[in-house]
Amino acid sequence: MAINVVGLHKRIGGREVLRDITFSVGAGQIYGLVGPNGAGKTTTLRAVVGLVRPDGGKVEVLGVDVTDRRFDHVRRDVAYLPEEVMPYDNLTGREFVEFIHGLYGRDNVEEALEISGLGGRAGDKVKTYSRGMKRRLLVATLLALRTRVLVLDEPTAGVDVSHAVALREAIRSHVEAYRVAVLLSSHNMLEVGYLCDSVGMVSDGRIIVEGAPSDLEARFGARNLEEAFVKALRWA
Amino acid sequence: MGLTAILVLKDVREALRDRRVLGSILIPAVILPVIALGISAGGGPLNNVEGAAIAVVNMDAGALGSEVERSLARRGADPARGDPLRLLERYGAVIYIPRNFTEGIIRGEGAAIRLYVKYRGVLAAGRYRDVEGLIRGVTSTVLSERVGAVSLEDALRIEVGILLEDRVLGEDEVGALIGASALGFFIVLFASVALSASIAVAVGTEKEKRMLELLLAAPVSFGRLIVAKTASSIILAAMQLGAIGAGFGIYVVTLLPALAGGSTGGVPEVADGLQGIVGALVHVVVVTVPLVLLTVAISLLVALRAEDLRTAQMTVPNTVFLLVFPAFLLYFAPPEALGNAAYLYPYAHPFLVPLKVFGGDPNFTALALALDSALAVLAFVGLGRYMNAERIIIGVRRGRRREGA
Repeated sequence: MAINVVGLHKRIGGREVLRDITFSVGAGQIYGLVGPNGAGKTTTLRAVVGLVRPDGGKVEVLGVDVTDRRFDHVRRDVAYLPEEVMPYDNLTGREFVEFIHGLYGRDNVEEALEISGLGGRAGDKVKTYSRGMKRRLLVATLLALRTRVLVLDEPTAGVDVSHAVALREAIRSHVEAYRVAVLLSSHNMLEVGYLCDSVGMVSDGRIIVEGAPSDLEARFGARNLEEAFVKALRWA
Repeated sequence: MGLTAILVLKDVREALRDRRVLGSILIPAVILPVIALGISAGGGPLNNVEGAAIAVVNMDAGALGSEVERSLARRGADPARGDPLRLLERYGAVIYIPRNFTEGIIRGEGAAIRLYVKYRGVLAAGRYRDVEGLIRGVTSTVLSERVGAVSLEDALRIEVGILLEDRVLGEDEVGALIGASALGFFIVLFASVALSASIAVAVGTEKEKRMLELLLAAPVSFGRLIVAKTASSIILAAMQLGAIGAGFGIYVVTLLPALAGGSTGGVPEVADGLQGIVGALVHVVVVTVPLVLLTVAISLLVALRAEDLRTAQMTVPNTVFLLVFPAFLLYFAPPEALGNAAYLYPYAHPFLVPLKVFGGDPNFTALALALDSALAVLAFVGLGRYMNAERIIIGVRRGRRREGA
């Protein structure tokens, strides 16, 4: 498994924000975490990329424990898109891609710019971009890194419908082409339903139910994932 | 309430609800007066040459010296014998009448009376002028009574010797000392504030845009990130200070002929006068290097705790200013009033180093350099140990959760 989380516990400021979180993501799979605000999705993602140290349980990425010093070497194969992250205003789109790819020792700038759909705007300063363009630039930059693991927190938040669709397709085809393991969190059930092979519904720091989107819909007798999610919360 | 007022009120309320912003505003209001009171209580009386006792040492073989001594004694000076520099331990000023005083006057060659005072800080620099006036008044009366019409300007020179540590400085040297101390302090103040502002923007922007989270998850170690931020901030601050320095240099060069009385022949003399300042400033620059690094470490520590750019911009320069500014208050204190704690206070070193250099103890620079370097290293080690990705991103403090899970 590319990502293996077993019995993850985390306390922040005296409060248990993650309780016994367990899931795994294989190569070429997309696993989605959905849940209400403050449920623990972002903390889980941060734990997977080694930004938050688990208080209990185990988080392994590409076979290495994230608390192990060897994980520093694994980071080159893990890309993380934080929620609400914004690229630097005074760099151009191209310069931003070059900067991030430079950190990872990659040089797939043209691929990133193509995925971003920025076209002739790649030479303009980021501050002239719309919020949606900035998000597309970020997602495209990380996709083109071709890391083996991709962790995305709300990848299409703030992106208009047509570009969000294009980004989802880019993510899906990227996963199929390069067998990337993707862990993402989203409030957009349509997105989760379209992208994810497996979904973990998180509430109050726990995964209350897990399965393929279609299985979850069937299990709760729901017409769509959104309805399944609401029923799952009531059931929990 | 008008719309503008509503907007202003929101801004102020929002800013003041941040404990760090509030602290950075309130702490100076408490700390600075306390420091000023401390210095005033410790060193105030020493500033006062006027009120201190004056000794007069007459070594003149002739009658005029004795007459001047008696006149001074009638005005409150104590006749004394011995080494005038030692007498400064008990007296605020010592007037020394040399052996050939009468002879010089009678022969029309003129004579010198030496006035010895202790260096008592920048505020006391002009106080001995009162004693000088007393000497001129008394000598003028004695000469008019005993010698007849004689030009005091031609007959009497007053040579002022200002004791600092073990050295007697001339007035020019004291001017250079004050200039070097002031420049030293401002070099460190400008460097520190420029650096802290640069770091506040660099780190605050990363945090506000959440890019720091992305970078910390990338294959970039925290140590490397700190080194990069340090280097970029120093480069930006150096560019800023370089531009100011170049402007100031042009200003001084343009002004030099005017300072020398408009004649180009006077320029070398002015330049000579600056040599003392430049020599001391070399020492200042040496101790500034570790202080700059110390400032960077402290600025990074504060900036990494700030949630956004505005908080970083308000708290980082304020914190650094608070650390540096008390050194300026020491500038006004007499050296005797400075306790050992002042010598351990790193940001006082750019002021204390010229004092020691002019006082004949240039080795102090090495001690200051060692102490400041050790502090800078400790600060960076502390930063590395205290700060980690979790603390930077989640910012948990005293059992409170600061951010959504």
